[in-house]
Amino acid sequence: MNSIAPKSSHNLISEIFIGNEEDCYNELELIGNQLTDGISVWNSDGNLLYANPNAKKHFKIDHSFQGPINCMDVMVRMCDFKHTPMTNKTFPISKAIRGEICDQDTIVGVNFDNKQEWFHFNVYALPGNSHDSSILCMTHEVSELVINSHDLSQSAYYDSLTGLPNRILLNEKVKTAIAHSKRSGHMLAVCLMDLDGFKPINDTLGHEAGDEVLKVTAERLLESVRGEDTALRLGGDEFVLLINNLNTDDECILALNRVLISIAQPIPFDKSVCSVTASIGVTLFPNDPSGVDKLLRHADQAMYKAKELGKNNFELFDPTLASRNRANQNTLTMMAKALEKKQFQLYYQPQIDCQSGSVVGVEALIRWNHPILGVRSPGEFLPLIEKDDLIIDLGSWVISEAMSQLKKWKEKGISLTIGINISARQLLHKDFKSSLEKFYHELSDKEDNPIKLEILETAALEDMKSVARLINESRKLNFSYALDDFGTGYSSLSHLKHLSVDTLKIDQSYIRDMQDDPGDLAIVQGIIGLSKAFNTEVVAEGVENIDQIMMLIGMGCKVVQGYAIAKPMPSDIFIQWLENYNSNPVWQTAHDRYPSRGQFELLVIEVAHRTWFEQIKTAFRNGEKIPSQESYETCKLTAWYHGDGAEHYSHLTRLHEMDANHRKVHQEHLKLCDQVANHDEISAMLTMGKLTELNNALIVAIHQFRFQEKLS
Amino acid sequence: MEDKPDKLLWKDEYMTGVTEIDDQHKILVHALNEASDKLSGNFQIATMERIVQDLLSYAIYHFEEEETLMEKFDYENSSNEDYKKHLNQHRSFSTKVVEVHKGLKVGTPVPASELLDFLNQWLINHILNTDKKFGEHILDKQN
Repeated sequence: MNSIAPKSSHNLISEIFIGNEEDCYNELELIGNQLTDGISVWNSDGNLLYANPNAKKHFKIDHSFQGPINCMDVMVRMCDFKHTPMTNKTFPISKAIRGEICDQDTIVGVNFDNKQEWFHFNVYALPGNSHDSSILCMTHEVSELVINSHDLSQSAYYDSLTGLPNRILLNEKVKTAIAHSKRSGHMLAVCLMDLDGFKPINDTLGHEAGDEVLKVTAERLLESVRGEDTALRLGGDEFVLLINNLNTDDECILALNRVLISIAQPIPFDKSVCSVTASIGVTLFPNDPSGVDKLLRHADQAMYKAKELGKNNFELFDPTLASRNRANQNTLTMMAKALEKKQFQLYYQPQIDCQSGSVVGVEALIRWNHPILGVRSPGEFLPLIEKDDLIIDLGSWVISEAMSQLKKWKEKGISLTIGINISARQLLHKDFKSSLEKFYHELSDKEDNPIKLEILETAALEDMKSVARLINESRKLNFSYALDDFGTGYSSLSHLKHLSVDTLKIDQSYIRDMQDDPGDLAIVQGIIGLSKAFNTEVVAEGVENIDQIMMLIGMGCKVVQGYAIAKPMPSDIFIQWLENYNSNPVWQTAHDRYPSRGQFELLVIEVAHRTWFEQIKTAFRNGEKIPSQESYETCKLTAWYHGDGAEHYSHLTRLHEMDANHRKVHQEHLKLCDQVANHDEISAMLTMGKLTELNNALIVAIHQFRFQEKLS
Repeated sequence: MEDKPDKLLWKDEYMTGVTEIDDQHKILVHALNEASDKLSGNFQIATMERIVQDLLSYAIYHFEEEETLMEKFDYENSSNEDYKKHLNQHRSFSTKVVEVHKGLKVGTPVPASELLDFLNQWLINHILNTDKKFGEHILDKQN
């Protein structure tokens, strides 16, 4: 390539220089050779027409170039001030050729031989016809200036105390690290570190000591990670560590343990020694597939956990734990929406007074009519919101729904008390009393308030004083109160004295088990006794069979609720049930007498014997081995016969007849065990028949003694 | 319980191939591991309460997700037996967890080992059998 432009440029030059073309040309070359700036001229196709030696030097045009040189050939080495490579769109010569703005004083970098040089570009469109104008480009080297100014701007990105990159570079650094992890397929650990015990050093030893700690910490951070890792200081005593190229979690754990140990080393300052430790929160990309902001937030969450767990350690952010928390949060939202969409419904379970045979009230029980999962019971969903204010909203809905139901029933001539369950949170909420007042004012018959608020015994015990005050203050509103699931909450007698409730509801677990477990029977007995002592009503919940009812009546509990009477029902079905309800006449006969303390033992024996016989019957029916552990000698009835029985009733032949019968029952039982074991089915059938007869007679006999006046 | 039970590691063979379901299964495996960890040795009742609440919540959102998919992919009519079995397993999970919760409330907690055994067995059987079958059904219908 000649330094002289080809002939086609002659017209152009003649326009600039007046006079002899050849002379002008030589003159121009002379000037060009002496200029420190680069001068180059490009035609509208982007081909180079002329370049002085410095222009060639700036553009790195050397002998390797063959044929016509296009501006694209030089553009590929160039970048802008921010190191972004030039494109046809941004390159000043290309822009000028397209007739766009001619950039002046643009800074352009040229990369060559791993060296960066910087130039001011000034570009001018030379006059000519509009389709064929040439471009004059002047280049002036400003490398020193630019590099200095870069250093200046660097200081804005780097922390002057520690020399680490600062918060401004954080996003970019994390972004680069993520990109690297994606390319390399290795894990990236984004760690947020906070010093424990830093503030006291600042406070007691002064800021110089604090600064020294920060400086040493930064050095230690850099020492304990590899060259390709990045440490940043966010400000204060907060640092970020980006650990690249991890293959496993363990590698990360190893690296962080190194960091913890190194940072916990004492730091000498002046005549004292400072020591700090680090709490580090870590999240691992791509296991945690979040973007920059979220990764940092997750590391931050984990860091707080690390602090909570006792400092000087690190905590790994767990994306599954996070999604679990999110899912739990969604369940709450789901339930709030369900309330909005009216998916909750009240079911009503009747309570019967067995003495009068009449329905005395209902308990309102909440159900979730879930569009997918069907009707769900409260045990499945109430625990999820018991610590959230949603349970207060739901509770208020229950009261107002029950009240509107009462109104509808009243129009049909039905008046019943209605038990409504109140959660602990609702009960202890500061607005609960005023909401009760509001409901009270909506009642049509304020004298005869049919609402009974059922409080879990455990809830009442949470804050006994407040609950007692609430009950007393709302007395004038005529609400009545029941303690629900009574027997489960370790109430003491003094608690009961302070809580002036109207009803005790015996927890259903005791009712369920009282036929099998004399201990549960004793508790039921005890609660009934308490209700008498404190002059409250008593209701047995979860009554499942007629035997339980008979026993309860026998013990003096006349109001019962449970499947033996009816399941909880939606309002319309409850109305139908009520219309068809007939009381059971057997109940009346059971309510003859309340057993005395001594006779209570006999009641327990009766229960045990009945249960024992039921087990035999079931085993026989199912063709299983007959339970054989109980014998006449070990039976409690035998002990009673020789003890209490002999003492009070030995004058009665019935006693000795009962004992003979009892002996036979056990004999037949043993016979049955053998026959079943020997597969002698016909004999076993006969024995079972006889055993049933004997046992029935025995139960009747025991029953008679329970109601026999003692001979004192 | 004396020793900490082994962690149940998530394996590819647990995958049903249905992302929504698999993601939630990972949550349950995670919850189970955490429960095994926290309920071994001495623990506070509040810890168990927290775990049981998580399980109750899981029973709502996970079963809702699965049962919505059942409706969408007509599982009831396509494989009635499997459908019924599947629903029964969902309900038995809820029943057991409600029972455990009630036990905590009334001060007669079910032993932690019993809860963990139940969860372990339920989870393995449910993920490896019931849900896998259902996953195949969905993938079949999608293709």
